Amino acid sequence: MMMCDFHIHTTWSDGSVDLPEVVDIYGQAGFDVIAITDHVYNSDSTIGSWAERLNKTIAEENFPRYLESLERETERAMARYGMLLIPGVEITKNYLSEEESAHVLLLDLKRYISADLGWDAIFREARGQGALVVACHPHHTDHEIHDTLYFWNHRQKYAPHFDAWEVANRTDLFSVVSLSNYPILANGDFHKSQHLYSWKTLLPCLKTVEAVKECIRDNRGVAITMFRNGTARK
Amino acid sequence: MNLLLEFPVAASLAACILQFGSAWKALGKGRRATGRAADGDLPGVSILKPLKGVDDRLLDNLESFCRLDYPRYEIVFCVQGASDPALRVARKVKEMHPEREIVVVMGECREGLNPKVNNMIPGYAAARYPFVLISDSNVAPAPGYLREALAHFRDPSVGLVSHLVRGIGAKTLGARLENQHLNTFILPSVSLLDRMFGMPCVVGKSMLMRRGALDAMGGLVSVKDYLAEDYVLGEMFRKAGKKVVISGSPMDNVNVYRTPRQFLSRHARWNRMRFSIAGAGYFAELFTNPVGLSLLMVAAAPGDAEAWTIAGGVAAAKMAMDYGMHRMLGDRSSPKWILLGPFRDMLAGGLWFSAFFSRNVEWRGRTLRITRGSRLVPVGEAPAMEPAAEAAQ
Repeated sequence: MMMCDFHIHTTWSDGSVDLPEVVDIYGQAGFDVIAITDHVYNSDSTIGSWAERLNKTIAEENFPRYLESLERETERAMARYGMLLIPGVEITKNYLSEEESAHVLLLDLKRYISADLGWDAIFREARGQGALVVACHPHHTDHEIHDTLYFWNHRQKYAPHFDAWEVANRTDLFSVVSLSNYPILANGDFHKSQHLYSWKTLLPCLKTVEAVKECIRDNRGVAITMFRNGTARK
Repeated sequence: MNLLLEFPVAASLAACILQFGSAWKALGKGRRATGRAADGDLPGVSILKPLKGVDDRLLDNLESFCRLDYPRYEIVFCVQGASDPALRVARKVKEMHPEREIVVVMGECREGLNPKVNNMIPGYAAARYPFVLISDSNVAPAPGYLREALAHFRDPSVGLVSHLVRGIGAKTLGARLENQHLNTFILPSVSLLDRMFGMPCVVGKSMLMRRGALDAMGGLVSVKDYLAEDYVLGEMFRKAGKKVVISGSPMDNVNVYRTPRQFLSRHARWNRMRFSIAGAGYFAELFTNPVGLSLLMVAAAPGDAEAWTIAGGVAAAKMAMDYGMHRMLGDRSSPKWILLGPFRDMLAGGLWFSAFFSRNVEWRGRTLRITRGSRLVPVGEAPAMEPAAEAAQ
């Protein structure tokens, strides 16, 4: 089984570790597949407008450079660690109400997609690019300052758009998501080095982007594990 | 001015100068074994690597052992349980270096109370060469390390070779504190004990010995219930009439992402351990912290301008010595971090007292009490006598 984390942030957005260092942290720990998913914020929110001012968001202007640096690191990750790196973003729509807020991972993205678009347009564009669409931390969490409940509250409508739902994020486990029988993933939502120790996904497939995407979509044999550095307290 | 406090401050500054001088001598070329033996004359070495979790730069650290300039050695990766994330990395290193003899031993040994020793016992049984090197997972040696260490055994009275440890690679505050503590306190203290007092202090991160000699003393099992198995092994060799050598080639200990909490917790544990071993001798450590003592002087007379001047002067002198160590060790981090020194000295001063408040350690889910000579007992159980305990004391 391949050890994977599909939700990782770097200093391209609000992560505290730069991209090459993130690759080294995961590579040195023996991971097989990672996805870098820096935030693309909606500009009509306070966080989004501040992120733009501080250059802490992926925007249309810097997306080509972001993709270039990911390509460089993809090559290095494979050559040095035999680790597959998948480029992605986290579409981040934050509003005052957590009932309206929602985050979505788009994996294997080739062209920029704005978070200011409506959800239907975002999903359509992502599908057009063959990207994988994952609902992030869809339920109440311990670590998010602001929960993102929109998709869970409207799951009947939106479920067909998602290839997978995060059933676990960092140290949170969403039992309601697992009970729903939706396809699942578990990710670390990495922002700093200690976040390496968090929920992860185990995949039984070949180490190629297409095989990984297919495996997640099929969701057969997908397992989750808590990646711990110490022994559980007895 | 309080002479009762002024004298200890002056004495501790003098002790630091001695530490610095000892480190300078210890790191000098004179303490490194020289002369290159023919490859055919070199004995085989089994390198035991007890792994637990993914240390910073684990893959690089383990791979550095695959690049040793030595003709015949095996690496035995020891892991307790299939769920340990280090297992994946050990297997990867084995795949990446088919040219090396690498064995991954996954055991579930519960013989002793020291989990590191438990982890190594199955690997020790699988090891097949006449020399055994015990080496922690967070160290990265230079290619010539093993050849240099083995060269000390040309002196037949040598029983064990250990190394000074240099902290490198810090990227976080906790890791900077850790590395500074290793480089400006632990390394000079080990050098001082070795060079000035003839008390070589074995550092568990690197211990090379003849397997036959260790077996004759009871093998690894004899130290299974000690927190400081390194110190006890050193004492066992010394009591058996063998020399313990601290090599002048420092071994790199890689600390990149430690948190301040990890720094505090590790050194609180080490302080308890040193107190249990040194007893009253532990009080001498106070004299290696002139900054802490000068701050006590300021606290005793906060309105005394002279006390403040002395404290400032002491901090400056200590930072100058820290800078000297930084240069001597070839530290690649920016020298500006030397400014962190007085803060680290303050923390170290506070940590020194922590040894008196508890003798318990939490280790892999168990609460253990450290008794005399660093012997461990589960809390609530009386220690049984063992020959090795006597040997260590």
